[in-house]
Amino acid sequence: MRRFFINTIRSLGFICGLLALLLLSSQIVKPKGNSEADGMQDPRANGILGEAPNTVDLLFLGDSESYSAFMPLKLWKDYGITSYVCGSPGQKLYYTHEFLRKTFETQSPKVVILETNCFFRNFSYAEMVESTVSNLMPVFRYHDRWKSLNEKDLDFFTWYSNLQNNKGYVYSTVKNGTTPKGYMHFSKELEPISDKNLSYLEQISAFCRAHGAKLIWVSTPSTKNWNTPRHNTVQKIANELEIPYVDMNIMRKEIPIDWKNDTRDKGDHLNFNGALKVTDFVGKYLSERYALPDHREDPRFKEWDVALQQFNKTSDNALGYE
Amino acid sequence: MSLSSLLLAGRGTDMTSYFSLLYLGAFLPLCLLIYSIFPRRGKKYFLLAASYTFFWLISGKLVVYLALSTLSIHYFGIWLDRIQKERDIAVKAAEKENRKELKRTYQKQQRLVLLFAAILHIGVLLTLKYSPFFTTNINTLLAHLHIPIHLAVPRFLMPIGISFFTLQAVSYIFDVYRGTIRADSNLFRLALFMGFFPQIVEGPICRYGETAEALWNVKTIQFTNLKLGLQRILYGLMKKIVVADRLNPFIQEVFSNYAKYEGGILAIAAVFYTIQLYMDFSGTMDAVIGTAEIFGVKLPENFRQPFFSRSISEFWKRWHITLGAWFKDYIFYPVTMSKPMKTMTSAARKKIGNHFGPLLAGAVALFCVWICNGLWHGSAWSYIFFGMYHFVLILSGNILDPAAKWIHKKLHIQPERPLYRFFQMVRTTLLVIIGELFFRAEGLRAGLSMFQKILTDFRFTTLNGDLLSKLRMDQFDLFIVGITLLLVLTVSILKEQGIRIREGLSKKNTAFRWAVLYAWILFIVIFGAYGPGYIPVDPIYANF
Repeated sequence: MRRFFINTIRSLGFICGLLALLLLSSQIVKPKGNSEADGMQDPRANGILGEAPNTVDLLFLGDSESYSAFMPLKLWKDYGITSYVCGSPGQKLYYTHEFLRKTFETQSPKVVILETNCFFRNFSYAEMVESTVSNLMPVFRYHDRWKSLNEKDLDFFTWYSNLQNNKGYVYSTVKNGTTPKGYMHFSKELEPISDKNLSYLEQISAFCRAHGAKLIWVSTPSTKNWNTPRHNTVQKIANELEIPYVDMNIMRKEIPIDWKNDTRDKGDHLNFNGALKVTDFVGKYLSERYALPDHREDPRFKEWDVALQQFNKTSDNALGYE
Repeated sequence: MSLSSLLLAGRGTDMTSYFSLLYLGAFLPLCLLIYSIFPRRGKKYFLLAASYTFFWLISGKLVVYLALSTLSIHYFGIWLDRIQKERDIAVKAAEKENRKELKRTYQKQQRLVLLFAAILHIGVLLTLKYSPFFTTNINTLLAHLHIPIHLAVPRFLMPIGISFFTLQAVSYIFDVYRGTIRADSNLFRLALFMGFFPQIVEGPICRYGETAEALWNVKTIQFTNLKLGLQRILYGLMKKIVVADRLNPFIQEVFSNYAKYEGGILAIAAVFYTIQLYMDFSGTMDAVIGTAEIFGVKLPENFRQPFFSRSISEFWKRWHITLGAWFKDYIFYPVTMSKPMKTMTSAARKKIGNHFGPLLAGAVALFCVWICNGLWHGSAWSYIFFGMYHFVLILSGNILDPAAKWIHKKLHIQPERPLYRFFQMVRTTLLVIIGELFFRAEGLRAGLSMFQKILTDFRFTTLNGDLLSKLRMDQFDLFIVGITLLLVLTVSILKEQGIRIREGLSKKNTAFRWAVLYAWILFIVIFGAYGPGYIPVDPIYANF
């Protein structure tokens, strides 16, 4: 019995030492800035870490559909709303949840818009655990940075100052149209959704409620990804959780997407034209229902004008600036 | 929600790899924890339940194949045992002159039961694994002959590890038939031998006589076994995620788009693949044997420093040892010792002498072994070619042996000199790499084309930083692979010299031991090829 106790204490000692070393190495390898050059994962979405605290009022979350459809700088230009798209390619809901929590550490968005395409992207328990462990010990996520470590990494101090001029939006003027067939045809079917995804939707909803943010689910137009069974499922869950749900795929009058000109990849994602229409609608929708403040006259938000100018410079004055 | 989905059937496909987070981080620790608190008498039953749970999680309903296979060999074994008992009684009671005849009669009965059992098991394997291949080839042949018949190509769901547990089942029934072991009347003991979770996916292919009893008599986990077992798992993990997974993007890209690359780069890909295969499979075996070690069970080794082999036949005694031994015991010897082969050997001895005479029967047996070996790895012509390639190499080695000895004598070469041994090892390794090129190539035609390009276009002009970055590798990756290989080579040399590294380490003081272990773990965590940007290679042998 004595031997058992000695072995147990020794093992615990060994594990504690190992944890300490893992935490220490995490501090070394974790990116010290939030830019791509710093080695940050998903630097575009993580650009929100560089925004001044409590300056973002509207948060967009989701996969590639979100950063192709929502244009924060247009909302700024037209309504003075400060928003950010924390969208990343193939985003899964556990990752969405991480972004949400991370954002609320420095920001207090009043409205959170969650794009619904990621509701149907499945993932394994292992991915979920891996992500959680990586959050606790970034060495598991950023271990590959050993290739680019320098003396700055020994400082342990993080400085997230990189700003993304497009505020998470991906600008594309590529036109690769389609003629949708069978898109959003009537059906009573329900697309199955995994228990894990359902659980994350509940957690995201509870989190927003706890932090006083209004959550809205939005399905952006996509002939490739969206269909009536998906709509039915999302509508059903939205009703159960009492979350406002806007399916832009069935709002052809309000958002008249021209599938020949408004998509960059045959209906999968919207291009700039499509994003203009979607963002126009979002702006109107929010201004009618939620009193998000107009910061255009606030000198503390000058950076947003700079970002808009910068965007116009690189996009052939796409949004126009007086 | 269906019952099977409720019970997570087939939901643990992530655990097919013994290095997956789900297995190493959840299943195994949970299993060890429950095992530790389980009453001593019930530990074996818990191990059996854990094994079937594991198989249920990775294969779902296909667990029925394992259960039926176990059940059938259990009853076939009992059937054989009954015949043997009846024979013993009858022989004892019979007159001396009748005994031989009586034995022959019972032998016939036993042979029929054995044949029935073997055909049933091998038949299921053949149907599930090979019927699509055979049907496709028949269709091709019919098309060539302009016969307007097209057979539907069947597609079956195949349980993971079927190639492994089928061989274990056949070996069990053969051993009972031969009288090497007695049939097991305890179905649970047999089930644990067949389905022990660490070995069910990739082997080693165990013999009942070696492991069944040890598995059934598992005891409380000893702290020393736990330490040594975990260290062995860690060693396997290092091989797998630092080397095998790191080389994966390069190998995948070059083998998939071989036409784009020069012969020199194809040769590098073949070398990388050989390293990857060894690191993946031997690493998995380290995890398997290490896990069994924790439970106090010694599983047979599957690798013994194969790249120190001086000939191809020695290589196959050091690489996938349990498969080679299975083919030797259940195909090579039965064929060589069969009546027609014996007759042929004695006739050949008279005509072509004592060296070449037995080689003839040996060649037939060897051919059977290698055609089976090729097919066991997969149902494709490239695997048959792989088998035939080794058949030709081993047979020619046997035939040319006297000539080689003669040349050594004439040229005053001492085969035991280190330099010559090194030359033999390099030569064997090169031959192995060529074989693995065909083994990995996406079809026989691709393999031949790659090999031809290596011979006719052996250039590296496009091998530069740009190409490496396109292949998602850089000099740092190569450096880490090199360091790890050096480490594995050092361990291999020490093992070859009979030095037990883990036991040696355990004798050192705590500070030294912990420092080594911490360094080792951090090495794996930091230099492992996992996470964003990496696609881990699926356990290669789990697909065979």
